[in-house]
Order: sequence, then C-alpha cells, then structure tokens
Amino acid sequence: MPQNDIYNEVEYPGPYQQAWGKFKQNHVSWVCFCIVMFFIFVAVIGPFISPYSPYHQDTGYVLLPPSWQSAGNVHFLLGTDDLGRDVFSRLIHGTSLTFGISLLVAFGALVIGVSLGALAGMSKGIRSSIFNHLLDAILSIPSLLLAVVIVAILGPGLNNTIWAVLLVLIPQFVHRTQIVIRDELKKEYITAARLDGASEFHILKNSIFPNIIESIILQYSLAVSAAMLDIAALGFLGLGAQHGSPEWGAMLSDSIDLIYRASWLAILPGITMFLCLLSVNTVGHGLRNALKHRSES
Amino acid sequence: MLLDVRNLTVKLNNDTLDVNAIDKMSLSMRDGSIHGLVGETGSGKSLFAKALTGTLSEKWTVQADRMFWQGEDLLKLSEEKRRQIINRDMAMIFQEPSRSLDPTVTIGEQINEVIPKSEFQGSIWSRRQERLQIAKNLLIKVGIKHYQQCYESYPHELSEGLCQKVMIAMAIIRSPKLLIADEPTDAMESTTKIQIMRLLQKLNTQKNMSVLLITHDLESVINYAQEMTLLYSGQSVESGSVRDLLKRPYHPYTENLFTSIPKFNTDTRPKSRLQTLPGSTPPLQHLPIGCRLGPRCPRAQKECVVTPKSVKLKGHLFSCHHPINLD
Amino acid sequence: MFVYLLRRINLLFTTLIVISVMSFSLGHLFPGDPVINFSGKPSLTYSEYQDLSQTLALDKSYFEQYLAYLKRSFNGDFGVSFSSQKPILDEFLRVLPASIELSLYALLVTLVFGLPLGLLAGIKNNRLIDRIIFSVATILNSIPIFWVGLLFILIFTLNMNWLPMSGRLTLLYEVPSITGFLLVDIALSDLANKSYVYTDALRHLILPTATLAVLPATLVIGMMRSSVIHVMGMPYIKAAQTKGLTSWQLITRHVFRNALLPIIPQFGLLFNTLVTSTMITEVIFSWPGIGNWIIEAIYQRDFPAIQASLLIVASMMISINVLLEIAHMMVNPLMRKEFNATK
Ligand SMILES: Nc1ncnc2c1ncn2[C@@H]1O[C@H](COP(=O)(O)OP(=O)(O)O)[C@@H](O)[C@H]1O
Ligand code: SF4
Ligand SMILES: [Mg+2]
Repeated sequence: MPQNDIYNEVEYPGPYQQAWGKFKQNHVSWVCFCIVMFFIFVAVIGPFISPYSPYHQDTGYVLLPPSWQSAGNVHFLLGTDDLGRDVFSRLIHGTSLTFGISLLVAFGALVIGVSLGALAGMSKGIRSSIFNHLLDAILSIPSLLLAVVIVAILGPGLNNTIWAVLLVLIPQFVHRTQIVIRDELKKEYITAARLDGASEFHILKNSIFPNIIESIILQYSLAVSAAMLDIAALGFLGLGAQHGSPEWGAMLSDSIDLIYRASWLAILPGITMFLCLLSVNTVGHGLRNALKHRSES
Repeated sequence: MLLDVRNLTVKLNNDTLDVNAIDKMSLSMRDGSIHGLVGETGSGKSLFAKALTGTLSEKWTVQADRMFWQGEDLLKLSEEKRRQIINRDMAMIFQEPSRSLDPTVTIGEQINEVIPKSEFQGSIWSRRQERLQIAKNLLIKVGIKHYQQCYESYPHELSEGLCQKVMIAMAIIRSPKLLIADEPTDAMESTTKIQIMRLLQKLNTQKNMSVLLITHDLESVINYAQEMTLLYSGQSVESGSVRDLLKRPYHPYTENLFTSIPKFNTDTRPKSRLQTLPGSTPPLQHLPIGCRLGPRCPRAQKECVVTPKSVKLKGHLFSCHHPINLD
Repeated sequence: MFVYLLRRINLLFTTLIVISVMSFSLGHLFPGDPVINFSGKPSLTYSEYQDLSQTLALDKSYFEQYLAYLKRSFNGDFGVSFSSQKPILDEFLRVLPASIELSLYALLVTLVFGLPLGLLAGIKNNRLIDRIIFSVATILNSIPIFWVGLLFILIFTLNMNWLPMSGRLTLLYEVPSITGFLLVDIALSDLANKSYVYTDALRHLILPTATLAVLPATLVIGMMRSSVIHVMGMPYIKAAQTKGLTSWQLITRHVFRNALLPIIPQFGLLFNTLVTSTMITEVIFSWPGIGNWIIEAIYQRDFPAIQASLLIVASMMISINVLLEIAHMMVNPLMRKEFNATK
C-alpha cells in the first residue's frame, strides 16, 4: 500500500496528557498525590467513621500514651489527652477542620480571585491602575499579619478565621491570574484572534482560559498549603479555633502545657499536619515541574 | 595527528524524541593546519564543536569510537582531567557571541581573567598597568577602535560584531594549540571579516596555531583552509584537502555544493538556474534512515537505506554507496 | 535611572497611602467607639470625650479625619494602649529591638546556610548531594513553624536539657536596657561577669533563631538552586568553562554573581516569611518582641495597638521591598539594560 507520508508520523500526546504523564512519571509526586487523596477521603468521611467523638471525655483514661507503648491501650490507638479524649478521633476530625476547610476556603478564593483577576487583567486604564496599587499594598502585608488583623476586627473563632483566610487568599489569586492573563495577552495568537473579530469574552473563554488553567491549579495547591498554615497558626495562637477544638493548630497549642508529661500530644498532630503539608507541597512541585518541562520541550 | 575523531555520535535525549543529531561523523586534523568544517545551518557543526570541548548540556549524550587529542582519548578521561586539557590546549569562539559573555561582568574584567600569567613580565606591583596594556593591545589587534569604551562596557552594550571580536580576542590571548572558531565572522561586515580571517591566518603561520574553521561560507574555507570536512544533516559527507575536493569530488552532495556556487562553476551560463538538489534539509524530527541525503539524492538506490561506511580513496574520505567521478 | 527611581518611589507612596487608609479605617471597623479606638482611652468623661473628638477631628468628614490621622501618625502619635495606658510608640520601640535582633540573626543564619547550600545543590544538579539537599529542604519547608519550635523544645530542652526554653536571659541577670539590643546592652553594661551573661544570652538565642531560620533557609536554598541551575545552562557559563578558569574561579566570579542577582527582589518574600514566623516564634519562646506584643494586644482587644502595628509593620515591609528593588537595579547591569531598552 502506498504511504502518503514518507516520514514516520509521530503521535504526540495532548498537552494535558503530556503534563499528567510527566507528573505520574515522578514517583514521589505520585505517592504524594495518593496521600493527598487519602487525606481528602479522611476529611470527607472521617468524621463518620472515627471511633469516638472528638469531644467525648473518658475520665477513666486520662493521658494514655499511644497504644504501642507499654502503658497504652488498644482502644485508644494514639492515646488520649488530659481530658481523656481519643487523640486518633481528634486527628481525624482535625483533618476535616484544618485540611478540609483549607480546600474549601482555597477554592472559594480561587473562584472569587480568578474572576476578579480576569476582570482586572482584561481591563486597562485608571481604574485598573488604582486596583493594582491596592493589590500591591495588600500583597505586601504578610498574610498572617493580615489574617490576624482581620480576626482582630471580627473577633477570634474558627468561623472568623475562615473569613480572614479567604480574604487573605483572594488577592494572591487575583495577582496570579492577572499576571498570566497579561502574559497570554501579549502573545500573537491572541492578536490573531482579535483580528478575526473575536470579542473580549470570547478571547477570554476560548483562547486565554485553557492556557492559564494550569497556572491556576498550581496556585490552588499553593493556596491550600497557605490556608492550612494560616488556619493552624491562628489556632495555635489562640485566635482561630478555640481551646479544646480538634483543629491541628489548636491541638498543638493545647499540648504546650502538657509537653513535659505527654509529648505525643505535641508530636502526633504535628506529624499529621506535616505529612499533609508535605504531600500538598510536593504535588504542587510535581505539577510545576511537569508544566515547566512541557513548555521547554 | 592533532585531532582524530572517529564515528562521533551525539544523541538528543528527550521523552518524545530520541535522535542522533550527529550520526557517526569523523574528522581528523593535522597539526598546524586550518581545517574547514562546512555544512548548512542546522547540520550539526556547532554541536560537533561543543561535543569536542565538552560544553553540551545534559540532554545530549556523546559517544565515539575515539576522540584522540594528541594521542589521548578525551572521552576516556575523567571530566576534571579533560577540562584541564581543553583549558590548556584549546580555545573556542562561540557562535552566539553576546550570549557567550557573562552579562554581569565588564568586558575588561572578562579579558583580564583569561590573560595567562606567562604574559606578565613586570613585578606584581605593576600588574594592574600591565593588564590594562595587554588587554588594550589585544582589543586593537582584533580591530576594535574604541577600545577604551569597549573595555568598560558590559556585553549588552556592545553590538554583536563587537562581542564577536571580544570573543576572538579572549580566545587568542591564551595562544591555544587549537582554535575552534564557530562562525567567527558571522556578525561582521565584509571588510572586517577579511581582517579577522587574515589575523587568524597570521596566528596560524606564526604561532603554529591550528584552526578549526566552522562556517557555512564555502568561499572563506576555500580561501583560507587547507583541508575541509563536509557535513550534511549530522553525517559526514566527504573530507580531504580543499584542492582535491574542488578538483574531484566523489560525493554527489559535494559536487552539487560546488556547482551551486557560480564562482567555482566555470560553465554557468548567465541567467541560467543554479543547480540545486530538490527538496530541503530534513528537520531533526523527521530524519530519513540510512544516508540522510537519500530523499534528495539523484543517485540514490535501494542500498542507500543503509548508512554508507566511509571509504578512503586518494586522500579523500567519503561516505556514499554510489560515488561519482570514480572511473 | 531617574525615571525608574521616580516610578518606584511613586509605588512606595501610593502603597503607603493605601496602607494608611486601611489602618485608618480599622479605627472605624473595630467594634466600639472610634474615639476610644483612636485614642486608646477607654473611660472618658463627657467633656473629655468631646475634646478628644475635636482633636482627633472625628466630628468632621472622613477625609479630614484621615488627614488628621495621617498627621498624628507622622508625629508618632498613635494614641495610648488600652491595657497599659502608655503611648503606643514607646511600647512599640521598647519591643522592637528584641524582634529585630532575633530576625537579624535568623536572617544571617538563613543566608550563611541557604546561599552556599543552594549553590552547591545547583552546581551538582541531579547528583546525590543535590538530591539530599533538595529533599531535606523540601521536607523542612513543609514543617509548620510552630511545630518546629515545639520539637526543638521537646528535644533540646526537655530531653537533652541543653538549652533554655524561653525568654532572652535567665532571670538571674539584670541587664539595663540602653539600646534594647541585648548583646549590645551587655557590652555597654558594667556587669562583673560579662562572659557568663553573654553565654547565657547566646544560649537563649539558639533555639528561637534556629526555629525562625528554618523556613527562610529552605526558601533561599530553593531560589538559589533553581537560579544556579538556570545560570549553569547559559551559554556564557559553557563558554567560560573553556576559558582556562579553575572551577572555583568559575563559580565565584560567574555562577554565584549571576545566580544571586536575579533573586534579590525575591528576598522581599523572605522578609515576609520572616515577619510571619517571628510572630509565632516569639509566642512559642516567650520572646519579648513585637509578635508577642501584637498577639497580646489582640487577646486584650487593644485596638490602638493593633492598628498601629499594622501600619508600622506593613510600611516597613513595603519599604524593604522597594529598597530591595532599587538595590537590585543598582547592582544588576542587566536590569539597567532592560531599563534602557524600555526608556
Ligand atoms: N538546544 C537544542 N535543542 C534541540 N535541538 C537542538 C538544540 N541545539 C541544536 N539543536 C539541533 O541540532 C542540530 C544541529 O544544530 P547546530 O549544531 O547548532 O547547527 P549548525 O550547523 O548551524 O551549527 C539542528 O538540527 C538543531 O535543530
Ligand atoms: S549513499 Fe546513496 S543517497 Fe547517499 S549520497 Fe550516496 S548515492 Fe546518494
Ligand atoms: Mg552553528
């Protein structure tokens, strides 16, 4: 059969596929992705399967060390705290609080921030300039300080923390979206689309958005990790989730007074949070590498 | 033999692509000669130079049957040792002059740091003065008139041609045994081109500096070089002394190349079409198997899907299954 | 050059204005009476209240109030603290040196460890040493700072009993506060056993400094590493490799400089992290600095203090960022090129 193409045709995978393939090639990222999935799973259904209520106080078993120590008890896998609450259950609930809420808050910030950023990125002139200065000002304030001030206005508590973190994250999304849109707008294919008579909205939806979606996902992974840190830090400082809440930061803060007697209370929530943060960050890293690699080749 | 490279293969490793950008190329140089390496743009000339000096990035792998430099196989040495030898004996003028100079350091400082200690005669105390003097003489030598200004500039403040001259100055100050000049006169006007070529020629004769002259400009090779190697799409085509090659090319590509230049083709009638091969050079992604000239070669036959071995005949080395002018 | 400076300074000013507006509006946003929030005096008689309202211009339009606020801020009058009833500026200046001292040492540690390690990792890219440095940096980067502090205390104070857990100095010693910088004050004081005091002060410094330096150091390693990798792939480094320089010369003269210059503006991020981390570190180690003071102010709902600290800290951050950019512009010839090209 005559071949109508003398060169062997190479099948190139699509851009998303390529990035995903590259991402999966990196075993560490892949493992961390699975861990993140696991944490999401725990955050969603954990509260229904935890052995005890996080607030249930078993006065018979106070300050029980984790079960692998000789003084431990298998019924309380990771031991209990000073009020006889099961640490394992508290950690599971903490996953929902710290990690689950971070996912949601970051997503909320993404939706609002990207919309604002798209508006700002597509517009020019004095209004956008004022907006940019405002943005610059907000971004120059350390996020935790801003969150602390917002909590100071609203008053301490987990609910207010969520609002504070949301408000802190939005400008970062706006900023990122604006930058990538600006970069994209400079490219020739946009000009070509313009010359073809495409409307601004059309350009945004069909030309720009598919090209920036990955940067936004990347920013999302950063935002989740920042949200976790801020929520936990506020909890730790006693400004977020209140004393006694199973939120990880609050748990750590509660552990300080007992650190002489019950080091596991300080270690276990820390390890959990560390693992979660590490996975999220590594996934973010892997994602960035995969994208960078693709744009290079 | 100063340099003897056999079957050099340079491979580009990529996940979607795995190609030999240079495929079994050979090149050997006599001591004290000017050797031209000629090929179209993209045929892998710069790659060869970089493979020789070990300045390729990690995505390339270099293999060769041998890469002898004065009887020592460079590829068998440790990286440290190899770098030492290259630093001692070779100097290279890179093709992208402005990108090959450190953007954050002034030209003067960059020249200063390559001046070998042996150049200084005076005591330590007069070093500063002496340095300045040597650098200036050097700049004048390569034909930079506003040397003072040039000395104090950063690379990005100079034109491409000036950067090229600076690169040349920095290369010749160390009086290397081998100067690898990758398109050394690319960005210059034709009069300066000639000056630079004369300078290189002078260094060649006076200081016995061998020159590997890499260029796509056949004319300058014919004018200045004694031997040449032709490259097509990463495969060596033919090599030998320039005079022999001109007189009697064995490889179809060589002949075509010479006839495509009116000056060397005495029987071109005015206003007639120049003879060229049909088609164009294949891109790296779509290299034909076997002889890469195959799809364009008028003499191609079915053997040509196998890469031809290089054959030595009357001082030429050529790679073709069906050579011409054999009789 | 001049235009560039003007542009930066313009940015600095507008940003400062935005910040001051934000800080001003806090006075109205905080729960409670603005007069009390701005002045910091909670229990006032009616006439006092009226007087204050007049001096603070709170009976006028928002714009005039803002101008008055700006004027007061410039004169260093941020009102008095709710809890101590002392002028906020005094309180602030009292705790500032401790924070600066701590951050400075942490910054020093960060750079001393971060830059060389990042450089090494970048040069040995993909080799074992790079893998190790990079993995450790990535791992440390993900440890929440408050947990680092707790771990350090757990290990070095409680288990090993090597280092003290909190404060700047053992209560035994009393160093008169002159500059506020403890190490300087010790030198200025006329204590008999200075060397003991120094040892004590340094021992108190180790854990907080280490805690504070972990995160910024990992950031510096990451920035430096990727910058070095980028630079190592540039043609001019390849070219320099054939120029007869030793590896050491190559690295110090060409790689280090080219890698460091472009990341200077990113150091703003470093300061940002540093400020955030300082707040937490100070709380963990009961370090009498600004972070502790702000958190205390929030517990006490000391609104004038919060308002002032937002204004001051944010202004400092912005100034540092702009200064860094200007410094970068001065030292990086390439920046001048870009600037010349766009003039
Ligand atoms: N960094 C690179 N990445 C991928 N391909 C490259 C790169 N540099 C060169 N090539 C390819 O290698 C081949 C040889 O290039 P080069 O040696 O620069 O040619 P020239 O003969 O013009 O100097 C070309 O086909 C080019 O496309
Ligand atoms: S080997 Fe075949 S295709 Fe190649 S040049 Fe010779 S004749 Fe032509
Ligand atoms: Mg080239």
